[in-house]
Amino acid sequence: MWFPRLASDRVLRTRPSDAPFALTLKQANAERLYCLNIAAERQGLHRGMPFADARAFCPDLQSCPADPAGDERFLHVLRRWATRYCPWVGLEGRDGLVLDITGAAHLFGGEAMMLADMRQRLSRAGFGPRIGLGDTRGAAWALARFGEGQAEAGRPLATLAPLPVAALRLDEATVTALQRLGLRKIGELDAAARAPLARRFGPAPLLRLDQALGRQPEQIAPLAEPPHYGVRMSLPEPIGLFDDVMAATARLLDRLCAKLKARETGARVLCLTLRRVDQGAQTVELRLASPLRDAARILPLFERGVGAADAGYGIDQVRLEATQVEPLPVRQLSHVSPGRADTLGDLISRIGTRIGLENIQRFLPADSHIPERGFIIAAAAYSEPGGAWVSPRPRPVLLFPPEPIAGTDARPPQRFRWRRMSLATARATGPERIAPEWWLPDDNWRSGVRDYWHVETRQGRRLWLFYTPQNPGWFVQGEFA
Amino acid sequence: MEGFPLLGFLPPQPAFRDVSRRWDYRVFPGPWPVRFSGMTLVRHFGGGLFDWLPGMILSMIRPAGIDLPLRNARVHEACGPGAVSFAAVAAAQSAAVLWLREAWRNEIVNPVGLSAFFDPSKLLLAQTRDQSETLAVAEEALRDGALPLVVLDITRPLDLREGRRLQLAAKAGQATGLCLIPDGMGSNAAETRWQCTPVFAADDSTLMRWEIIKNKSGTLGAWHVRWNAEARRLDVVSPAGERPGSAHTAK
Repeated sequence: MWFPRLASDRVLRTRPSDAPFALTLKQANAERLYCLNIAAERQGLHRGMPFADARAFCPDLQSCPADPAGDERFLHVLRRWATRYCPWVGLEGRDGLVLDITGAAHLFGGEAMMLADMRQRLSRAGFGPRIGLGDTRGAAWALARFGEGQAEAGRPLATLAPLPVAALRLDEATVTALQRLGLRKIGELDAAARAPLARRFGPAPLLRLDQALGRQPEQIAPLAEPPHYGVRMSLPEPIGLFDDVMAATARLLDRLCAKLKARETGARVLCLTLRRVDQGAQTVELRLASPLRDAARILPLFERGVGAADAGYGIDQVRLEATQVEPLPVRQLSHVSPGRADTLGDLISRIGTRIGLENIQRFLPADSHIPERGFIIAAAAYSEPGGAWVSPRPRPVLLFPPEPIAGTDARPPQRFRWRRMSLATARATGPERIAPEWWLPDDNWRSGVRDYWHVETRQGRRLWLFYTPQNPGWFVQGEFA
Repeated sequence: MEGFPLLGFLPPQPAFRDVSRRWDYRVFPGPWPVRFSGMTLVRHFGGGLFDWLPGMILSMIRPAGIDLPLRNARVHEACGPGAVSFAAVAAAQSAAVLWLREAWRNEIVNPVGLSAFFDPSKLLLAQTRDQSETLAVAEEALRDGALPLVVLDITRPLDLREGRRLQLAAKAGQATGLCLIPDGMGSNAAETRWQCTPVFAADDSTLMRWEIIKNKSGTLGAWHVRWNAEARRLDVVSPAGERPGSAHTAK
């Protein structure tokens, strides 16, 4: 099953249009056409063409940037859909699927009916698929791309013989060389003497030929189904009490944790859906600070969310899904207790249910002389402490946005008022010049370089003042210990 | 705080050093000294005379020291312009710290500056929406006890109920709480309250005056201290003008 225009079809599904349409991709510093629809091809455009040329040929061309990663994800979606025909479905390149329908065709009333069903459903969904059916994978590939159809069962050569040699999944150079020898059709290649061909081109062309004709076996590797971490429970009678819901959650959690354990993964985000009798649903999301599959530790974390949920007329279906999982290998028990890391992770999760997991943060060192950029604030649950903290010069313990004070020249003022306090400079250490990082635009540093002073006042306060020589002014930005 | 060791009661790594007197005696960080009528006793929970004895002997030979570290399983308060430094010193003696801050405040602690006191990697920062959220998170963290020190910024006065809940949580989790309060916003439930002010000294850039202005189980006092960044240690010094060699003591 080949989708010649997978990328553009995928985009056009959301915004149907009959006008010429193309997806562009930036390759080697130039926008080139990546995929285009039939209307655009009729205008004489082709893939790989510079976008500017295409616009010159076809002024009303609509375009959109391509998203190859999205296309790949979508192909996986199609693969999952194709398992409705047979369980054995694999990917074929970047825009094809390969299905082993052995023993499954009769469920759809035979091979022809099955192909018709596929075509109908896919074209209704907005795709133009090319489907080939053959005894072997090679024959199906050739038929899908060169002369759509169905190979005669048991005699593949009869169908494949008139197809060009390019239908054998060979590389460009081999195809060109074979054509120069006069071997243009598969039938001609099959009739030629094998030994000189093998001597000249190596085993590849003959292997592909044998695979297409069924003389050599070729496997179809189906993609493994992604594991599904969801469990649910339907209740004969609606429930509404907190303890009942927690009991149901506990049962689901046991089953889910067994699943997680079997795959050596731990849940990072859990989603509990409480479906009510009036078809409404309440969702409780739980984000954990570290991957976890210990039901006894996860259950108390749900208490807050379940307590806040509205049961309405009662809950009759409970569903629990681990929406985000991370690998969590089984660990050897040792005499060294896991200790603080575990209890701290639990505490972070519990606080996270209240204020949001991203609001529990830790500082990471950053390589910058700019005081505000000397550190990074990262979510504690998604980062590890690390890095060395270096401060060659004393730095304030408290930072705040610069607060202007009155000052006249480049020396710190002898007396100044700050936050309605009258302060007198007793000792000033400096200046320490810090220049803005020109590669990162920052509005706060528009005033240019800063000369920082460590000013100790007679009143006791030790302040971090700076003077901006390019734009004269004095500011207070921090306070020392 | 089980039995006090009879031998070797001086810790291998002193957390404090009193340099105000000539005999340079170390304030030991074990059971906290509590002063009764001029004599320092060692606070002790459950035990007999033998547990008291070393502390009594010690109290006779050492000058009265600063009441630090903060009493465990209690919530304390610090106010004044040096409150952040006080919290930093308290954090330096703790294995891990949770610092609660309301997200709307534009002042933020600078980890680069704090690295003179302790390794900022042991600091967790929680940003809350308002004070009721701060208190809820602080109570949760104190009750859990996974973090031995919880520092919280207070912006409106705590009533007795809130203060008492924090105390009970700290007691349950055996963790220490420290509220950084604006001047005059103290809660009656606090165990101790410290007024911290930086002091200008001609020869010193880190001198601070810490005055204990409320103490539920001890007396009040004031100390001049400075932070020794190389040794990561708090030095207690005599107030300026009373040091050996100064004009005041020379006469």
